Amino acid sequence: MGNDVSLMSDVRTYSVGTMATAARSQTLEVVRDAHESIIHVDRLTAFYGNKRVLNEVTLKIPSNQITALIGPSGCGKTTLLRTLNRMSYATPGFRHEGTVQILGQDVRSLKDVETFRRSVGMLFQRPNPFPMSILDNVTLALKLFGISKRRRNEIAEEMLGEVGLLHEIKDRLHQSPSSLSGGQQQRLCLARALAVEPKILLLDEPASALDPKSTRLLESLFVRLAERMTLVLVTHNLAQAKRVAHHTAFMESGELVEWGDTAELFSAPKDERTKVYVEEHIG
Amino acid sequence: MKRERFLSLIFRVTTGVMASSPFLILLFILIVLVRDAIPAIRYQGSSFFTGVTWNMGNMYANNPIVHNGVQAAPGASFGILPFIMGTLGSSLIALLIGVPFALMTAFALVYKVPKPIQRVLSPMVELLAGIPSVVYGLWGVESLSPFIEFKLGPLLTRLGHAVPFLAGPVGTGFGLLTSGLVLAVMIIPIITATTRDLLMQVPTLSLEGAHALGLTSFESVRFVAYPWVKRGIFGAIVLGLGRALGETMAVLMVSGDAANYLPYNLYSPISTMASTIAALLDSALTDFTGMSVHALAFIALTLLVITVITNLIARLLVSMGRQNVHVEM
Repeated sequence: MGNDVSLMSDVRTYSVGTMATAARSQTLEVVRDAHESIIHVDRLTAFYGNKRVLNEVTLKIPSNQITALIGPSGCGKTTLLRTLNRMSYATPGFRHEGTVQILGQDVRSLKDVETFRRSVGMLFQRPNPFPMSILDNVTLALKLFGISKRRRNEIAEEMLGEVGLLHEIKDRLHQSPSSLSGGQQQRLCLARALAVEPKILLLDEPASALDPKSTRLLESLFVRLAERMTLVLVTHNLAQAKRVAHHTAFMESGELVEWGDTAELFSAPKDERTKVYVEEHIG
Repeated sequence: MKRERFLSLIFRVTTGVMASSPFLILLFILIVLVRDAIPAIRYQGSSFFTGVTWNMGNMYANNPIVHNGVQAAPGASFGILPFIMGTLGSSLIALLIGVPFALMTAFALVYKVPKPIQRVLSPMVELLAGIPSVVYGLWGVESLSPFIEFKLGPLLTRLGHAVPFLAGPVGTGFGLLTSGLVLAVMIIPIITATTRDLLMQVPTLSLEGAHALGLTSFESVRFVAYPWVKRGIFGAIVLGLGRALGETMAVLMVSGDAANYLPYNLYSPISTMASTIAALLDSALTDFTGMSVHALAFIALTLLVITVITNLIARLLVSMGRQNVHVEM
């Protein structure tokens, strides 16, 4: 339904035959609507104590695509990401106004955060494997959710295969993850997150501690995963955003300055602040 | 040049001595104790550990008996099995009650209590560890022993049908259970403080990973934080056990000062090795043969050996656990 309306408005815009930019933004609407938005952030203002870190951020993140959040350090992109699965709630002094709706649920009033977090996975700045064997890392959550051992191992094998680890470490499944390289550990953490079948994956600078080769490998996994889930990627690396993200949002000083189609944001930023930042960082 | 070489030699020797001082001190104490205990070892032999009767003999007599070439007062017999049992029994109770309490306190302090309250509560744990043991002993005498005599004891005796060791009589409230509880209270701060410091070192990133995966806070602590610290917690428990085994004053005040019989139930009066040494030294010094003091030195040696062995076993278990890096699921 939404699709049709958008298409019609699209046609109308064309028929009026206005400026090229207007046409382009309308085209973007079509793309967005083709992927129904799954995360609605509405006038989100967040504080740590008295310090305001997010200011009236409104953003819709489309499903089954990769949305990158970029901006200088301290711009609030990580806080925004961590508010999506309520991780920021654990920081002392955190509070927020405005709403965040994910999968139709208001995250503030969630009754069961644990169940919610199963559908919103997360990958962190550095690999954080649990102190247990590689296999147990992937199956722990499944075990706690009461899935049978046989099924758990099947899922683990499938997920380790998905992230390309299975053939690399087939004979080391019962060893500690500390024997893996940083990139392998991060892929293990990805497999662990995937095992509970999340619908959304939050990525907090997941490649910032990795070498270029591991980074590329991880990026290719993200692109493939976007076929079946929604990814939100916080990154310092603009080239990375350019490579993988369908949409990019630029933030500065807690404000969402601009967001849109990635190629467009980088090639023709509408806001002067975006332009300056992109030019400085892409080089 | 010569002078510098001399100074560096002095430096090497002094640092070498300092570095080996823990070993040297232990060795020195061991040698002194063994030397002091030799007459008692010769007089009593292995029945020292298996005997139940402790009797320093007739110290007013002037006809010492001679056995294995050493003199002792007539009728002297030194069996310390009751003291060994009292020591191990009271320490075991202390661990059974103290350890869960201490671990839960530490976990709550680190993960459940809001930061400002944590900042207030945390130093108090150290404060508790610093209270002189005689104060704990007095508390045991004034408050705990009446409580056990009139409240807890009678309640526990009802379980006597199922567990005969819990059956009455409760007695005076001075005994095994009271000693164990006082010791528990004394070792809780040590174990809590050590465990708390360990938990503070668990990487936040790991715990966040667990939370982000939808694990409850209990599951995160159980499966992610605990494996990080479990070796250290074991060390903390051994530290507490060491204190419990060697605690003297507080136990002396509440143990009931029993001799010549083994603990027959949970409320039975006991003596521990440490408290016996303190309690009997005065009269042992009046033994004209000197044998009683040698016997006390033998107790001290036994206590030292038990403590060292406990520590070694603990370390062994820890290093065995180290090879097994991951948790069995």
